[in-house]
Amino acid sequence: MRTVGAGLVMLSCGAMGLVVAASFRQRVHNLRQLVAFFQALESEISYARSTLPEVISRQKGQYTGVVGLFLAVLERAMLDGTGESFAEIWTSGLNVLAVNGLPSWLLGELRQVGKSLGQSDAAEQLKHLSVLQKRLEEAMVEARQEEEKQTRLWSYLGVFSGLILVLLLF
Amino acid sequence: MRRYLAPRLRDVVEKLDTNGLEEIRLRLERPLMAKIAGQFTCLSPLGRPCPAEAAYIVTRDDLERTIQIITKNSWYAWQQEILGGYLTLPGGHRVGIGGQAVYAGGELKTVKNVASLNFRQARAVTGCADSVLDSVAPIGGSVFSTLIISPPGCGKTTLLRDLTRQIANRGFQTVIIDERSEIAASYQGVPQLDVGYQTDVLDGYSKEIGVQHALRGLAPDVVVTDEIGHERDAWILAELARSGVKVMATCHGNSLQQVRDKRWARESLGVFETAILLSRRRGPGTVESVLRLP
Repeated sequence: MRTVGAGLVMLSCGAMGLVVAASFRQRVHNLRQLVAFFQALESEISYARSTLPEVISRQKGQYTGVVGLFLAVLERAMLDGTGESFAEIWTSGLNVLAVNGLPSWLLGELRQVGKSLGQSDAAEQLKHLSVLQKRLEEAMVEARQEEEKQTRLWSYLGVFSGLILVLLLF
Repeated sequence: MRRYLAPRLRDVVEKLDTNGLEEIRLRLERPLMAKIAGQFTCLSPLGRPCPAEAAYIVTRDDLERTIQIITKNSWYAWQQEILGGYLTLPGGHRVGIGGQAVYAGGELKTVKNVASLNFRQARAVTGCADSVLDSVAPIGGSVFSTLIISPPGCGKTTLLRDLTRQIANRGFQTVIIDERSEIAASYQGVPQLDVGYQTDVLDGYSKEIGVQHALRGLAPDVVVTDEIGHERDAWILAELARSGVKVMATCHGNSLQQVRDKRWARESLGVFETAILLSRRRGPGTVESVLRLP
């Protein structure tokens, strides 16, 4: 009975550690998807002058997780045509992205982009998007470094905390 | 048109009796106005005609939200149209845009601080060309190259559109060079007004480029275009005549003589076989005369 209990404690602590570690991997994945989306948006604006609803509805199927959800929220709000401003729509979409721990400075940048996205001519839009791409790449570098450090740390931490608990309890 | 307005404006216009509604005018910090059956009137917050002092005042937020709706939050996608001064909406309605021009290198680059939007209801008058159709395209015969002449606001484009529809539906391959999207009112490539099922629309093309593309690739029997009168139009008409393609066009003027005196007409009026003169004597589209040109 004790052995089974100890095993369960070890297993759950280890799993908790792995879940936290996975969230760091997920953050990198989300950022990679955001980079890909904004690259696609840049091309669509540059070469096809596609509208934002067109780009979003074409692209949204290619993204999973929170980025896919973010795009779905934007698409739904834009199709509703309730007269909600794009900045308002964008902010409600960002609330979805925020839950996956994107750094607050990046969320601030994204919020700023929402105020100007779609509001000016193509040359201006491309400038805004190129600045955003740079910031996203910086965030990617940070997130990768974090991933490397934290994934290993949390995996070990889970196992070791399980071990300590077992020693303390039994 | 109402669904393209900001929510607060939509609420006002919702209560308006839209019979005979021709225009809705939005001017920043000035009264919301509508043109109904040829008369301009200010609109109260309840959507009723009222004096200017009691009218709903259009705010910047109203204008910005309206612009976001009509551009689908994508100003850049309509850049060319905005620089041309208007947008076409689904249904063929047009929105005229007024604001502050931004020039770069001598060219209009964009328009900022938009302060005026003018929504114009699109209206095709199906059948308005019935009375002149046989003079332009007799049954069993060919089409006569035709020039429609009138002062502004007499229904030249409306008549041209209906003639185009009827001629195309009689089996003539027709190409419209729609420089200002006024004939077919295309939205994303689809004509919003009926121009016939054998009609190709070159939307937004200049006349020069449009004629070259039409002749090269679309093998038309008839080319239709609006508002000729520039000197360079002489070249276009000559090109069409050389290719044996008939042309239907409109032109500003009060009389055939007035048109004859214009420089482009001295060289090119000979291309036309028929002239139709319009006036507003019994309302827009009154056909004053159909003349066979020598």
